[in-house]
Amino acid sequence: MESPAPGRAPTVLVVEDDDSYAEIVRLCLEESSVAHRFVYAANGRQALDYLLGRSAGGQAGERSSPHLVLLDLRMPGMTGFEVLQELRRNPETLRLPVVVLTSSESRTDIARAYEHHANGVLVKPMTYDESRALLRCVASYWLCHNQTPS
Amino acid sequence: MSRFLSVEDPETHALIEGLLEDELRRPSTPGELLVIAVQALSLARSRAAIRGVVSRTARALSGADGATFVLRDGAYCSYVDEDAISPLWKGSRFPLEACISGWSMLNRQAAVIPDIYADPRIPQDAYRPTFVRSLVMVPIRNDDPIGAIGTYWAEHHEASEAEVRLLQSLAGATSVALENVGLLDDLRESLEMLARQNDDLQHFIRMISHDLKTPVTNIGNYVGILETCVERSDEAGVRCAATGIAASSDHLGQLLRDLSRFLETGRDIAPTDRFSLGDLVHDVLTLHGSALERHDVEVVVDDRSPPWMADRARIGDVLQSLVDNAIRYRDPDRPLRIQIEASVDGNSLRCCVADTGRGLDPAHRERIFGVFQRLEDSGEGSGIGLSIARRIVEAHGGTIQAESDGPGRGARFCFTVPRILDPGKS
Repeated sequence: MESPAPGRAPTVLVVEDDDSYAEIVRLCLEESSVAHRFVYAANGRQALDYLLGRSAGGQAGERSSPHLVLLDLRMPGMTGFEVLQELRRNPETLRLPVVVLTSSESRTDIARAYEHHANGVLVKPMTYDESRALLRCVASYWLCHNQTPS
Repeated sequence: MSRFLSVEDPETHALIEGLLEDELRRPSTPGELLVIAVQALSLARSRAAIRGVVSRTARALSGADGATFVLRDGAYCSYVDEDAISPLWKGSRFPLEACISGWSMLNRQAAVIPDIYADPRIPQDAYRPTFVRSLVMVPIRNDDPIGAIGTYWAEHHEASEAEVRLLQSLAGATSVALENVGLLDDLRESLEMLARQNDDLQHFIRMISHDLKTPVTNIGNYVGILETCVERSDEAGVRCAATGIAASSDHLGQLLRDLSRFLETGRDIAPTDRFSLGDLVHDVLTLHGSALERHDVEVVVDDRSPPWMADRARIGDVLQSLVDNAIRYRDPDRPLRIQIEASVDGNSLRCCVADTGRGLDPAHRERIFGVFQRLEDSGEGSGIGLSIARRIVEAHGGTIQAESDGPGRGARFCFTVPRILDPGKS
């Protein structure tokens, strides 16, 4: 079992409009045995509020800096591209590791994600075994091995 | 698109000009000149290229003082080209009944006039200021002429049968050339339309593939989760996975039903019902009665349009989608008021449905009409209502647009259908 660096468990923010799929990600990350804290945003607006510390519903916003953001591309309202654009425009979230996790295998979408300065692009696997394997790698790389700028 | 279809074809144009120039310069018989002209016309891909050949050849063939190339423009003859030392009529237009080219077209025969002042068919006053004394006019295409070729002289001139036959041959070749150009234009237009439809289709397929992939991905994953939970005898997990599968399966079913509805719409639209839009609105609102009451919605209807001529049931679907939309995207912080107005807008009939709902980002005005697009998470439906509404309106030859001053400022949807006047009165 791999462990992240000592200190508070790293946070993974999953931005995904389909809550059924978000549940799949949560289960896979749990199975990865890498300690982490799972946070879920159902749309771009919620994700930005969380990341930029914008108050939602009158609460005093505190900016949160997760270790990793897993971002869906095709969401109603704000698309993943628009979220990336907003994040990279802001000096506080410019360097935040954001990996796109999408159903789309379109070359155009993949290229566009990188143009919007995503740190990586992953395609949602269609079976649980593949999902587990993938997210185990993701957790290992991004939460244990990858050095974050902070 | 193949080069064959390009309108601007400078190489061919130059070739045609060249052919004619060479021939006109050297001493050749009328027969030889005609052959070259026919060759040149067969190469023409545009009306301009045809114009470049006809008058000049006609004049050279007859040794006339001037030659004209006339095309029929509805009830008028249009002198599209003229070859003369100083052209008399080029660029002019006259009613068919008032000119000799018109006579030739209407009567489908050549006019050979050695002395215009002795011929009742000629509008003498029109010719008096000119030097013209005799002329010959042959129609282009004998059944239903589309134009004419004329030659004229300053002196009295008796045109021989051979001369007239030469002009008629030229007219025949011109007719074929014009027909070719017409066919090429039609072909070009069809190809452009097909290319556009193909692009639309590709885009549509790409979107559908993606939208269908989402629930299928979920099902695939949840089946694996289900198996894992069964192995571990995790009952709660099993139930959870089963729910996930069921939900995604429903989602898939809904998408397929919507897709089917979308494809069916736009077919068999018959704009043959005459109805009052106000009455139709009333029917639609009655259907929504309970939803409107439940959410305490105020509706105001102002119909100032004359009777509509359209597919009543389909326009009813459009109104239903718009009212549906207004209710679904209402603003939780303020009461919902829907205003439906209808009026005449030029050659169209226009209906607008405005609401005090959540409004939308003006940047998304077009996106919301996309197939399967949802702008806000409303929890229900796959957002196909608006794309179907657009399909219906466009099948009538109309347009539909969304406007909003921004989130929180309500939205306004306006659609038009072309005004079809009652065929009973004309």
